[in-house]
Amino acid sequence: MMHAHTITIHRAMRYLVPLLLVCGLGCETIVDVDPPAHTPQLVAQGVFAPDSEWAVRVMQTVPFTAEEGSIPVEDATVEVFVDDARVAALAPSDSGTYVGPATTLLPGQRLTLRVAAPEAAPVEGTDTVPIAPPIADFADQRTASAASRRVVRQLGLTLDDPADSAQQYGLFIAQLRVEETRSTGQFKLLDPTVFPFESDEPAFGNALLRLLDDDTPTYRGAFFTDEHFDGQRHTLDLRLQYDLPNPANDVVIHRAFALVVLSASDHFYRYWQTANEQLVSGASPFSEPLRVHSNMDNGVGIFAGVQYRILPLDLDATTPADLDLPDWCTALPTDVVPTFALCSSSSM
Amino acid sequence: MLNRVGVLIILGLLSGIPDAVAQERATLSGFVRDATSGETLIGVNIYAPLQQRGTVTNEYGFYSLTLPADTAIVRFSYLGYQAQVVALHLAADQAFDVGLEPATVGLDGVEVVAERDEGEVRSTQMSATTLPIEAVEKLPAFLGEVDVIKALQLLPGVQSGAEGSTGMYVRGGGPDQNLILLDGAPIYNASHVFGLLSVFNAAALQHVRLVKGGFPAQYGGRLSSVVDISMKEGNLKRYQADGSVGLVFSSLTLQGPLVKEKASFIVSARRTYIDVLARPFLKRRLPDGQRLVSYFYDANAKLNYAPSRRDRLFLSIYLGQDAYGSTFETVETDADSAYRERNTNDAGWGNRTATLRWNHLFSNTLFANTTLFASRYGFDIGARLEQTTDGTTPTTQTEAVAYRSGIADLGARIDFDYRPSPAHAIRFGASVTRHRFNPGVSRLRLSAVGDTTLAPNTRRIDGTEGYLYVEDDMEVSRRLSVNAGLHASALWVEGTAYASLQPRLSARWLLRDDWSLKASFSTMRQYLHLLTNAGLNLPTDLWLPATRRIGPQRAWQAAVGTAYESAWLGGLNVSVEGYYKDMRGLIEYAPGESFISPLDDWQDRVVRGRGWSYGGEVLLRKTSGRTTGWIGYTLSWSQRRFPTLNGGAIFPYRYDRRHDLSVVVNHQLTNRLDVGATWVYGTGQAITLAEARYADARLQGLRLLDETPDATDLTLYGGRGSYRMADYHRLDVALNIQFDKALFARRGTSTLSLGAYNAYNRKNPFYLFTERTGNGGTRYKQASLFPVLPFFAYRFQF
Repeated sequence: MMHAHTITIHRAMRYLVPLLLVCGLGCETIVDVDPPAHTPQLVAQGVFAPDSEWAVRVMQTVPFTAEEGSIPVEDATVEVFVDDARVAALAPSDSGTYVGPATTLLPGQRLTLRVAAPEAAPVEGTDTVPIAPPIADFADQRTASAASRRVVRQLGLTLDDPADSAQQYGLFIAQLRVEETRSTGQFKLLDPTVFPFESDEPAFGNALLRLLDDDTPTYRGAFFTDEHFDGQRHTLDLRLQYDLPNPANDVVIHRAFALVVLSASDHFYRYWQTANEQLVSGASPFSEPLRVHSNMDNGVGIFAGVQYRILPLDLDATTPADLDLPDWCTALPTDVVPTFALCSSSSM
Repeated sequence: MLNRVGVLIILGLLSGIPDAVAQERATLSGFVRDATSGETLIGVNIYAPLQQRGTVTNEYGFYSLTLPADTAIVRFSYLGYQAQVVALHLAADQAFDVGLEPATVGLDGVEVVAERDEGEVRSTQMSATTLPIEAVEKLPAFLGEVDVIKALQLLPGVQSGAEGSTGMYVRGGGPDQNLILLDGAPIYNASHVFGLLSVFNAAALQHVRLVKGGFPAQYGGRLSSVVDISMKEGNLKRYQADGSVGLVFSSLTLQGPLVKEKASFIVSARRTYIDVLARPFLKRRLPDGQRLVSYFYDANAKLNYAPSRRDRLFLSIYLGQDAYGSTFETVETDADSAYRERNTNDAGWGNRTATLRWNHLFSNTLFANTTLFASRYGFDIGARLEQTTDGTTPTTQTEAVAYRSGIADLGARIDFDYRPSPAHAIRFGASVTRHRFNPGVSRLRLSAVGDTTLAPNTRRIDGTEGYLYVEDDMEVSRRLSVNAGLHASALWVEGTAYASLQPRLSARWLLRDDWSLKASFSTMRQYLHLLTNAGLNLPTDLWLPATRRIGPQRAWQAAVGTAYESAWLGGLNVSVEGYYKDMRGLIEYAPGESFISPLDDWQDRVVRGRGWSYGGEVLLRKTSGRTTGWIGYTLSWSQRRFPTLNGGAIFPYRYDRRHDLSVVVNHQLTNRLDVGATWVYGTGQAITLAEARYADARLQGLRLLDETPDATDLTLYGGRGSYRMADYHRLDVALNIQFDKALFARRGTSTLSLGAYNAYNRKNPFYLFTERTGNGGTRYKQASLFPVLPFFAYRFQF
């Protein structure tokens, strides 16, 4: 995300420099140049959480100038080690994804991922399982306006941050959606999405927007450290706004929400931050190039341990509780499924 | 340890080396001036061959030479002037001022009388070059405008930045590591037009000296070089007008006596009219309602007054400003109301300096100069959007953002030049400077909210920098001379003090009268940092002080070399040097950061590391005869290592240029006609490019959040500086035709210069960028700035 006035300055500079150099002197010429040479590297990306199915995506980098996207690697050997003991060889699933069954992991355990593929140097990454999110309390206050169908939900998440250790947390609101066509009585399940929320929480950064009183920053997820509340109990306030479906419409979208609270390793936090920063700063000709953090030796990508908890939000009254089984419900942790009417009504 | 050694060296050497001969002595002292204008001449060689003693004039044209009280033959010689040899009976101390006649071209068009540069072989100083302005004026000039900084870039060890840029990278150092002094006042941004031209108007300059190693103790505060530029003092004998008319610039210089032989003035001004010339062409290309502003100007003025032979006062002023911008206005009307939108973007920057100096001759052997100076550099960039609605309920909404940065100095300095004996030339002095830094403040103005300062952490910072120095240029024996010195400096900032002792040592061993070996060692400390992006000399670069968190930069440099003066081809000077420089405490923007990060403290946006450079330089110069010029070649390596950049691995500095070659030739065809050519070659810049892509699947495994796998690609950059842009090379040519009188004047002289920049139309890389192809790929493109650019300039004097 780029700040509004940053864009303004950026635009001004982008305009002013060529103004003189190009328009004023009118003699810039453009020629093609050879791109830098590139040897493909293995990319492995996997984020492991206790009691969740393990999934690792294995790809090959492609030259920056290539027309195609990343190339999935279908014939890799993907092994997982816990505290240096081999515990699983992940099985190929679809499109370069390798999966394994959910396993119990304990905080502090050392995870190692080794990926080997023909004609590529093997890569290896190591990380440590973080603590579970220290959730002390969770509050959800809802106000709705019948006239406008606008729902505002004020969420309060209290964390009991442990002392004497640096922690990294993530917050996301997952939106589960079902499209109902009333005339036919059909329900169609849509892919889950990340839903934006608003917050003035200093720990999330974005100080510029917080300066302007009338503009609360909006986030599509926040990753942050405990720097602002290290070793203390701290409540994070979030605000969620959405509209209930119009019952007069034939096609309506029903929603269910869940707050996903992550506790992540330092590797994952750095990967997340640098990836975001690269996406933002990549547009600026003035920024120094930024390499995305990687803990995969001989390759790129991230292998990280996380722990997360999913805090479902109560359903709205209009959401039907008798939908067909959505395939994606199987991906939800079992403790969550009963809470989601969308899933619990299924025959799983 | 080093500092302790330095102190011991200084104390040992200053304790006094007895003169070789104890006998009656007398001191010859005075000033050497241009005989036609009365301008003092800097660096004139004064040599008594019988006694084999010599000296040079200092920055104010003063010399002092103590010789046995006897008959002496003394030779005064200076590059570009006719030598003068005088025989004197030195019975007692004697004041003796000399006027040297400029070298002339013989009327037969064959014989050229000019002085060879004799001082280099004998001087203890190494790694220093003086460029006569007259020689610079004969070089092919970019757009016809003579530029001393571009001329310095043609010397070995000095590299330019991007195409056309006036940035200087000396022996692997950064652009901030050059102390650029204009009449003693520091200039922080020496560029106009985003670096295409320097701020120095050659018409107002008298002397340019570059020191890139073996720093005398009098200089400090920068790691890599000193560019000491002196303005003309003003003709003491007659009124004179000089001017030039070029394609996009014109300048006018007026000078003359206020009180004949006692006081003089010089005023010089220069302005571009590219905005005026381009207007008709741009009018067709720009949409209706859009107006552009683009110009720069600068002005120099100097007063020179000598109330007595022992005293002289100088007041120098420089003003320069660049202004660029555009305004775009649209109006939409309907029956009831009108909507007006005005969009303004502008950028401007400029330097202002003022220097007051007082020269005083305490005795024939002790000269002092006291300087008060002020220097200010400021940069502004802004954008403003104003929306007005007329009608029954008129409204106005404004959104404006402005970004400012700058630095202001106020300082005083005193320098003594003491020549107690022929074997010692002692300099000592002190300086104090008050810096005020404004490292970049963004202000946002919204009509609904009001003013908001967006950078509470980028507060103003005040600092005081001071130094003391002493050095002795000693002639230990006929063959060995040593310059030993100590520079002690300190900075007080934010309740913290940084102090350092910087030993300086240079030595010369005379193998023969025309051949010497030299070596030098110097340590430097720099209390300023420059945060710069992407290698372009943008005025957005931030000058910053060392602070409590970010310490100063420091360096040491060792060099060895030889200087040889050959009589072959009418006189050739050959200089070969090798150097090694180690730099610590360098700063760079952290990855992903740029000056456009208004909320963060700049100290959070930088990373620190070290750098080193080494290489060899060859300079072959021919300074007399019909054909003059030089060939400069540098073979060098410049590397950096920052723990948090490039994964902590060593990477090449952006201007790590393995080969750098300059060939500069001027040939006098007749007494009215000369031709000049410059050819430069440099290894391509080391830059960082995106090499590969891969899908961002960071939420893989968190399926609830894994909403759009492969939605974005992450970029895999190559190693920092791992990609080399194409090599740079360019030929410039010029033809100078001299006339006996100036246009529209009955007297005077004039010169018409015609030529071409980039004569064979080389497409040199300026920057690389990417462009999407129609089938979803990306390709790299190179933008080249200047094709072949013909130019003309008409210079006149009367």
